[in-house]
Amino acid sequence: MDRNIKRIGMINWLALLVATAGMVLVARYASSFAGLMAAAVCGLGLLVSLLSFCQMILEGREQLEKLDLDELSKSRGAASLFDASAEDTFPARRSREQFERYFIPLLTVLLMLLEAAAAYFPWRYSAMAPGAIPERTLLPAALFLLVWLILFILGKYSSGLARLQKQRLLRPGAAYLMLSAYVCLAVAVTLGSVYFKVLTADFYMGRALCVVLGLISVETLVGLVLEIYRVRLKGKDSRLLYDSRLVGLLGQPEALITTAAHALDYQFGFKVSETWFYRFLEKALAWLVLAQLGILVLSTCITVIPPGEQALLERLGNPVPGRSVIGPGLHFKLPWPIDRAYRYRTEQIQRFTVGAEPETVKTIQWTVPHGREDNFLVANRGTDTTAATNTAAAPADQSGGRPTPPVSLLSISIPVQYQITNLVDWAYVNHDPTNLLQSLARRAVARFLAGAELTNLMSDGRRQAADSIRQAIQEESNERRLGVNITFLGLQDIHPPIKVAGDYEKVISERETAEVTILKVQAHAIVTNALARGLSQQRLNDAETDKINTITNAVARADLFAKQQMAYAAAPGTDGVYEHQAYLDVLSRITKDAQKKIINATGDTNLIYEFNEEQRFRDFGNSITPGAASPNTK
Amino acid sequence: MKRSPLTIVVAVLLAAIFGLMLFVFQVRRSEVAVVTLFDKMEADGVRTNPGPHLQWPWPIERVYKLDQRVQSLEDTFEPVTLPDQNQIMLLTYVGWHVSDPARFFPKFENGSISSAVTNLQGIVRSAKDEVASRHKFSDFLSADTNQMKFTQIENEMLDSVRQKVAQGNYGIEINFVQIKSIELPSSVSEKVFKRMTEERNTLVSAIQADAQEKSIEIRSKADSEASRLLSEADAQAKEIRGQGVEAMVHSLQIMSQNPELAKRIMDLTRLEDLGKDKTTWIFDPNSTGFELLRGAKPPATTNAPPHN
Repeated sequence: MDRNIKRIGMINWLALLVATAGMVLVARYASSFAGLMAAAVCGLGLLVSLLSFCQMILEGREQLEKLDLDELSKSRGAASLFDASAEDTFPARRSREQFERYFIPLLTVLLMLLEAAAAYFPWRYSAMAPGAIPERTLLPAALFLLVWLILFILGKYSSGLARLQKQRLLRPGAAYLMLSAYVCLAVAVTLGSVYFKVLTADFYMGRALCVVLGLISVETLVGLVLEIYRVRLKGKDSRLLYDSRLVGLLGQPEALITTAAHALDYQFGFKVSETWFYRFLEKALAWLVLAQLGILVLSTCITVIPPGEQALLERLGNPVPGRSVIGPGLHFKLPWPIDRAYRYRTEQIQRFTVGAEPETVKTIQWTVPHGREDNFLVANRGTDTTAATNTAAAPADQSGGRPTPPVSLLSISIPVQYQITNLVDWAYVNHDPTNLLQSLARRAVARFLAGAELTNLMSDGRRQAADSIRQAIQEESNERRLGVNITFLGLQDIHPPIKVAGDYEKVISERETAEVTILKVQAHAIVTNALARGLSQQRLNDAETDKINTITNAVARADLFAKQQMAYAAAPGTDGVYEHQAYLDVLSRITKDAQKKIINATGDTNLIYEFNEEQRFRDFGNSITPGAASPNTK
Repeated sequence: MKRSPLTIVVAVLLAAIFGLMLFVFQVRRSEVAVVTLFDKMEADGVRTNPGPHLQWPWPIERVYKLDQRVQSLEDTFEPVTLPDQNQIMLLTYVGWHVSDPARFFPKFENGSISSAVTNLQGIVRSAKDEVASRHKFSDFLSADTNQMKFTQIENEMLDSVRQKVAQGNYGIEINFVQIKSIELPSSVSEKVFKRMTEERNTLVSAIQADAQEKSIEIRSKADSEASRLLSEADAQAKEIRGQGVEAMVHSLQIMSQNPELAKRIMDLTRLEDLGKDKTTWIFDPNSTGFELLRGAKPPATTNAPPHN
């Protein structure tokens, strides 16, 4: 083994060691998840590099041992003392063989587990803290770029050496050097993106590196399984178990392009690299890249503010006089990082919700869960239940003797809409004005409800309550110089907590039942009174009729009697003609329509006369029609 | 060796940018910078003016930027036992800002805001518990708003926090301390739920009793009214009938001129009244008016047509 190769191998793992330590420090300094993942990649490269270095030393010792043996063989001729078949004749070879047979598979399994752990645990950790943002960006990005440069140069050299001199033991370390270099570059770009307010870049880059490590782990596992079934040919070098093809590919992405170019050459049937276009690109590439950079810098001289937004324009950190706030439209400024524009949504109405955040449903019912419930405390006024509430005002907890406070709980959803009216105040006075405004709003709501009346709030006091809370938030915002105007505040979805909502609905339904009962009784009362009035009127009418009859009869009777008296005077006496006639008149009238029987009660004759009702006789006294009667002789 | 102009331009540009990055730093209007020389803060190390400032490159000088805007800090909910044996849980938020960067910087791990927040949280919790435990439940929540001492409690907390911060000489000024939310421990909340249920049950009973009371009242009132109406009608009917009797006097006087005849006529009238309904009359041929039947022969044929 070439001494130079061993030295390169040692430099590789030393570089990876220093890079890993440096990256851990820088990542912690920056609080960068992606940085830590880059350090993990680099650390795994260190292990691989150490492993190949050990194997390198063993192979070197074996080569030395073989050279020594050859020298001895030449000087002493064929000596049975150094029989090649003797086990203890080649300790270096035996060491190497045992290392390859036992240690390498074992260490490869360990490497695979470490790769899997480095992919799984950071993924889980990142899921628990998804909003973590690097605290520092520029300096760490510069340091990562520095590491990239060092690793890239070393990696290029090592991989080139490994390829040209066919040094298979140098290849894994070189591949990891290149991969670590590209990962460092990616992290530097990520931190730069975070600096330019792409706040999630670090999170996603970290997760992407988790995926890469996971894939490498799977590849290592597959390699281990395939190794069991590999056909072993004597004299043919096997591929190193820990040498990842994936790492090699990722570490040399240009190899992909070369492969693609070769494929194109093959497909088109001529050498693409010999065309004028390719040669032009080769010559002008640097200018093109520079021009692109220039355009990039120039593009930062223009800022476009979309409708509904305003921006704060700062020159080297200081608000630009006369242009500190710029509105929608196209604006020119000095290039980054001299001038910077910070955009805010000022015209747009922004909103947040205090309390429960209801889900979008067609129908909201008190007793059916319809979103995350957020209960507020409301003081008990005790007017609705009079004595009942007074007794329940502060009942003692029987278990511990602690009184239950005289409060109720209320679920409420309060959407608040606001607009930034003073951007300078909004941006420069408070660190997190959005959060502060939400805190102010919640405080105003809690404070109002602490002295509010539940029933009033749930019914006609809603409008007044909304106005009061809105005014309180506005006043507090002005005092805290938030620079906002509270445009709307609504009280929605006010109801008792779901746990007791059914009891409240029971009260409402009971009110209805009571109303029904009262209405029934009222109907009964109406009927009774109407009947009584009708009956009394009937009685009055009857009395009136009686009175009229009495009076009329009295007058008529007096008149009649006067005339009867005259008639009687003409034929006086009980046997007089008038009386007899009067008697017969009456007899005739009363028997006119009646059934009549005449029976000889004295026994002189046995005659019985029966007169049918249908038979008429006009004058019973004067002319009895014999044919009209049916006498029965008994 | 001849260098291309492009290489020179790029090199100059990169050198300029690199030089600027090394020797110049910016301070925004909302920031203040603390510059350390070999990690030691000099007396004039605070840069408060916004704009560009010069520095020696790292590691000679290091620049730490502090946000001078009002920071919001929110503490944690925890139960506090009040003098009236009630328990309450308060969540407060505190507004503070770095008032003296020179003092603030060495006290909190190179001016770390998060470190300051961690320290402040302890102070705020302590002040909150201390102040809250002096007040009754009705000072926090009361239907009578005159009893509530919300603002007073917040001011007491503010004073307490300010006092503690001043003692620590942190270089921090507390702008406000406010109560964001009031809650009850979960066990107490359960009791409140039970009480709310009982209140509703009581209300249901009250409504039912009220409905019954009203029903009885309405029914009895209606019955009474009906009875009164009928009684009044009866009285009026009697009065009306009396008026009729009064009118009979004249006719009775006339009839009293011949009482015998009057009685005879009355008897006949009575007899007439008796025959108004369906009646079967049975007469004796010896009765008055049937003299002609006495000794008469029965007719030859029955059902013969009548003739006048």
